[in-house]
Amino acid sequence: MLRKSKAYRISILALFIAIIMVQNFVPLFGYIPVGPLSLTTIHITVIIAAVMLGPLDGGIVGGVWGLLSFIRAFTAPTSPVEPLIFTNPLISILPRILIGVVAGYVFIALTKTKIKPVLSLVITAVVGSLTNALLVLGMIAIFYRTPAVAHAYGVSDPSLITKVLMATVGTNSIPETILAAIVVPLICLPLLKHRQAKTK
Amino acid sequence: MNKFIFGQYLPGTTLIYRLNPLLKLITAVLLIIASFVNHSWIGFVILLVICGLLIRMSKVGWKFFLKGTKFFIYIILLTSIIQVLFSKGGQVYWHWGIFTISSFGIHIATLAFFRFLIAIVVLTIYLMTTDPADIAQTIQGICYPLKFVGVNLDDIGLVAAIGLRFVPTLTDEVTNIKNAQKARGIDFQKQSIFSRIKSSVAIFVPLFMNVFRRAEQLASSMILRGYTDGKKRTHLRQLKWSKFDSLALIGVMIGFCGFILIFCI
Amino acid sequence: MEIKLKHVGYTYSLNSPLEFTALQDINLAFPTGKFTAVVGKTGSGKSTLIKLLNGLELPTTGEVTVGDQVITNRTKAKQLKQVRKNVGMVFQFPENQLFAETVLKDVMFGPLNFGKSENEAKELAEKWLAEVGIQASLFEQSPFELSGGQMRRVALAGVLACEPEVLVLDEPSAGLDPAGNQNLMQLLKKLQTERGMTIIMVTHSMENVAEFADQVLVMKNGKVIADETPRELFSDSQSLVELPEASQFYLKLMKSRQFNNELPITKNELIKTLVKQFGQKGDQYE
Repeated sequence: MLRKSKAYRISILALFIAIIMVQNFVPLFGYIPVGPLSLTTIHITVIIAAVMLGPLDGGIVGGVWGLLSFIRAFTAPTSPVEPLIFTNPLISILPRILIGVVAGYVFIALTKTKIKPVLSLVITAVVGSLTNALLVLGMIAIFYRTPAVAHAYGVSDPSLITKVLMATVGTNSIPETILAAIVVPLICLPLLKHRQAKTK
Repeated sequence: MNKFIFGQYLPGTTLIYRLNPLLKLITAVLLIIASFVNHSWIGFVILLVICGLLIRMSKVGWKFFLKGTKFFIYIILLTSIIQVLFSKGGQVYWHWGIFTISSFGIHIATLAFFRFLIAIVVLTIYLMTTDPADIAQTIQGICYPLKFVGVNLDDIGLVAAIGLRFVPTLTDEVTNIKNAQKARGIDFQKQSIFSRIKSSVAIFVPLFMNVFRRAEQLASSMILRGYTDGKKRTHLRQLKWSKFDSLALIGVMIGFCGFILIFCI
Repeated sequence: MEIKLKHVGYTYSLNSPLEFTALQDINLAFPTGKFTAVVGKTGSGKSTLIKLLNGLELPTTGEVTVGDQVITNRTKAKQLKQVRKNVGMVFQFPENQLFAETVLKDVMFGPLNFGKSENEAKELAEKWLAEVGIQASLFEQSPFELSGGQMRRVALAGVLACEPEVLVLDEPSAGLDPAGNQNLMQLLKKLQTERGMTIIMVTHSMENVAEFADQVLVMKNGKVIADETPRELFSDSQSLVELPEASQFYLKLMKSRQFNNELPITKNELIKTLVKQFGQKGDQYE
């Protein structure tokens, strides 16, 4: 019954937000620099929150990440492209909220099918990660191709910098997706099993 | 051990610590906005002097402050270099393949560098001089308008407070798990992406397992200590908004408006 | 394998407002094949001390020698791998480090990292799991489905499977019941006596110190204030630590009386002493 109480929901939500904050501020944990890139592991936290707590809480956890990366882009960037991309809240916040929401609903939909839990979790992880990557790429395309907006961001040659930014984000998203596909099932499977055993 | 001072609270008693946290937050945000809409060099000089004064007032020491923010300043420098190389316009000084150095590129890159520098300094000071519990309450205060669309503010405050309370605990936990896996031969220095993925699995799984267990303990202890849904919470700490805070806020507002009028229009 | 510390000091957050000196000018040796206990209050520097033993922290000053390898503050990360292989480390609540899908895979993790082949790692894992008392039927289960005590033993096997020559443990029996504690301590003693391992254990339990340790270090405010045998430590009249229960019991019993025999420090010694002192009289009442 504990897991259905509001106290539990508040606790777990708070702890997830704490993890997001730790990932943002502890070096080499939330962002792993690999050469000029900086891979993130934070989407994993959001996807796990979405699977375990549902789309709404997944969205909240994602939103906190978005807000932090928006603030970070101004004040504590981990990679040189961050200040160019994530200072725009539509690129930094919106896609992150949607990771949680989309992953949450995808997982709920998959549990109603006959697909094995492991596979559902892998699919959820991949879809969640790609939601982020595609939205960020799409937003960059929209914002930097529009000359007025590009100029406001201090970009005079939109096509070139767009390519650079998209290449960076694209390259990041592949290992990030793989990482999520490995880690999410590893963590969620035992937890889901545990939960089933308790509700029975 | 920890080179990054970003986000770390250092207890102290100087004036800057005694100001109302909401006032400090407003001031910080206004300073950052001012630096981003500013286009003039004199404006930047003024903002940088203000930053310098704030660092002095916080009494944390220049050397320590520089050491803590060095990494981010270095990243911002890289961003500026990217901007220089990939922007065209005005007079072209150098051109090679896809790279161009032009007067326009240098101009916007320098502007960006100063803007981000100011933002880094301002937020670092805010976080260093404000008790995390006060930040939590300020967040709750900012969310006040949400009350009218049916959001339970006490819950937001509770989530923020518990969340902030557990940041140091979880940071320690990550360090402990990392140490334990290092002792089992994991090499976090390895550069290859595959080995990095492998080593993050060994940190993430134990961390989440512990978090779910902790949440259960936390929820039980909340219930046992009388937390029930929908009851109004009282607060042990009451943030005081003094006359001095009002005066300071008026001063900040006037300064901000003046700055915008002089340098940005 | 011997570990020596020469003029070792350790300071956290050097040159910052948060600077904190955890260890000062430590000189000591952990002799090969001995069971050494490290005791002291929270914050006395015990945990920092043991992190220096396998290079998790580098000494701010002085040097740590592990076998023939010297660790100073200039030692590179690459050179530490051999040290970590030789010195196994079991942290507090080691069950928190489990992560793999199965018990067997988790134990294989260490050996694989230290360069063993898949087959060798599997062999080692099976051997050490058996040694710590985990049945083969549990090998393919998820470690998260085990009981707390089993999880701790699996974690211990995970460190032992790396075949270290020195085993360092930070309060290994915290949270275990008396029987669990006894099992664990006997296992450690067996590793020492049968395999010649050097054991270094941080503990709060003076009973474990009295019964199992050959040597005991007492730490206070970042310094070693005593390095002697448990018997010497507990017999010392100006006692630096709390005495084991057996000694306390005996002292209370003998409160007003003089005694010239040795102070018993373990339960067995207490029984023997009591039988010797009161046994003959006791017979008369039977």
